[in-house]
Amino acid sequence: MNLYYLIVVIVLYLAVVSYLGYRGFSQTKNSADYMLGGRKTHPFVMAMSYGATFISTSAIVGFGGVSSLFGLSLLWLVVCNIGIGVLIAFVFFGKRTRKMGLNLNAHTFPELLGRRLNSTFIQRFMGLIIFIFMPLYAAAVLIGSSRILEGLLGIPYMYSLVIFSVLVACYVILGGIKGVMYTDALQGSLMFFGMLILLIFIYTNLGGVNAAHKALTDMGDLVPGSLKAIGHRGWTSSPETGSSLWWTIYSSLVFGVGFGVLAQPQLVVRFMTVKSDKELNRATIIGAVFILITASTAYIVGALSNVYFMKSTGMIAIQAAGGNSDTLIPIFIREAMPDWFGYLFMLVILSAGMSTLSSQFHTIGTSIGRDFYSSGKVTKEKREKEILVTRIGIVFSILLTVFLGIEMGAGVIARATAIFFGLMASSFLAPYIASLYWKRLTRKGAIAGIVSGLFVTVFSFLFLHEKEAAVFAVCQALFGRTTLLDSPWPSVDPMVLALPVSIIFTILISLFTKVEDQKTVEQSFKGIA
Amino acid sequence: MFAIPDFSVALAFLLLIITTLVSCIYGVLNWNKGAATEEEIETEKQWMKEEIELDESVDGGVIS
Repeated sequence: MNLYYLIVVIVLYLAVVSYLGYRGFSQTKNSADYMLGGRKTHPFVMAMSYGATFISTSAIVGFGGVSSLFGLSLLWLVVCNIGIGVLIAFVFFGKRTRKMGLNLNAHTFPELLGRRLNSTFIQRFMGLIIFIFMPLYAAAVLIGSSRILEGLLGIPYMYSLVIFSVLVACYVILGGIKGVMYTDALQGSLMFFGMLILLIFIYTNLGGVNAAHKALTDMGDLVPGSLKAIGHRGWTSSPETGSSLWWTIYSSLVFGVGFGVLAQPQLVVRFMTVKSDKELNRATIIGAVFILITASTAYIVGALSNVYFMKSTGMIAIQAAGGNSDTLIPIFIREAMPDWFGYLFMLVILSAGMSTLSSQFHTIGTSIGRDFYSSGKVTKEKREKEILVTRIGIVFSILLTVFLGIEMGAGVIARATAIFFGLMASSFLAPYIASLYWKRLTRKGAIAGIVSGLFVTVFSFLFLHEKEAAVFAVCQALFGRTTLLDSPWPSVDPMVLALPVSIIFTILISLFTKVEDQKTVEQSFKGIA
Repeated sequence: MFAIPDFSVALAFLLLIITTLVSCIYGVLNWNKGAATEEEIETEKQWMKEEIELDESVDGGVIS
């Protein structure tokens, strides 16, 4: 790649991003602007922001790399991304979230549930969970972006981490959610066109859709023995039912991430940034097409890169990537694509990373500033410090994210993403659905749902799910074995256990307790059929 | 279907397209439905007024 062109492209890109960040900053006059964009966001901006936040470098680099290992069965995740993450999320969650958020003047996801149930504890506790765990997901995104910079530009990984974080921090801290969403819209557009070109290229290069799939099917014998042993049956086949790989793909990646999207704080808040349901109806089209192109391209290219590398190097993809699935997509782009696309793809990845990271940092900041520090009735004294605490929270989270980005090992992007998505869904999804649809939900029921979901998830990480239990080694220290239970439990995602437990606790405790504040319930459901 | 012999994976491919189409059809059919009601606009104005008053009561404003 020509360094001169590269610098010009990056400078131009950053200039436009800076301008949009500045526009966000100049139009941000109060807290509602900073957190909700004044509730007047255009449907295109909202949908692109939702999509660009949703589809990050984790999806493109991390899950793309994982797809090179596990194959096209990962496309079930994209089906969930569109069917659940867009269609169900916008129609059944988005509209009620927007309306209830307006009724209660909620600015964040924890504040929505806190005000719905008239509980500062819920708001603070949710804020704290987000503040503690979201840096893990942010680190996954940061690692993905930095690996791309390292792979394409040769910038050392450590420098990449720092440069990327500082860039994002500038416009998030100053521009609030307006700055974040304006830049998201630009970045989402770049992602869409970049991934579309990549999709067309890979199929054209491999002789068309059917020829490419057939070539990948014909490589079934080349699946490494280590993958065959855990249930892999070829890159165009679903793993053996009930095998370790089957549970990993369908419980962690498809179920965990596919359903987990419904309770993501950085996505839920976007429903509250639009003026009416009309914007959400229109955004459904843009969101679905965006996810189709961006996410499915990453998984298809990841899987088909096996065919490309076999033709060009005689190796399957993971061998060509030196055993690290996180570096596969950058290597594929460098080896397979023309130089000009390398420039474009670098912008795609910068965009994917920056759009998700900015939303994550914004959410982490508001979780500590608005939800933890300033929860409950917002007084003049609290308001004085709220934005300052939010900004300090953002700076702290950036430092923590960079630290995690340095410390976390190779091949962790998809796993860290799945952990965060699962954790949020296990803790928040049941109370969130009940808040939107069930007037009989009580404060104690919601707290029981959140705490039980969180507890089972953390317990599973320590004692049941092998990948995390092996890292924490608590079970090993106490019981002399990596996990408490035998197969298939070490491969079953914690959310498979935690979400039903959370649902049961939410319902049962609500049924056995009284609704604490009927007036708030009526206020919440005003205008909701 | 799509030269993918495994039914489950081929079905995922098909559902990708179907879910996208359903989302698009839903969006088109409801393109002009769900505009903000008078009540919503009033509520929004009221919240905004309170926010601005609270922000302005803080010396130097909140956002700087």
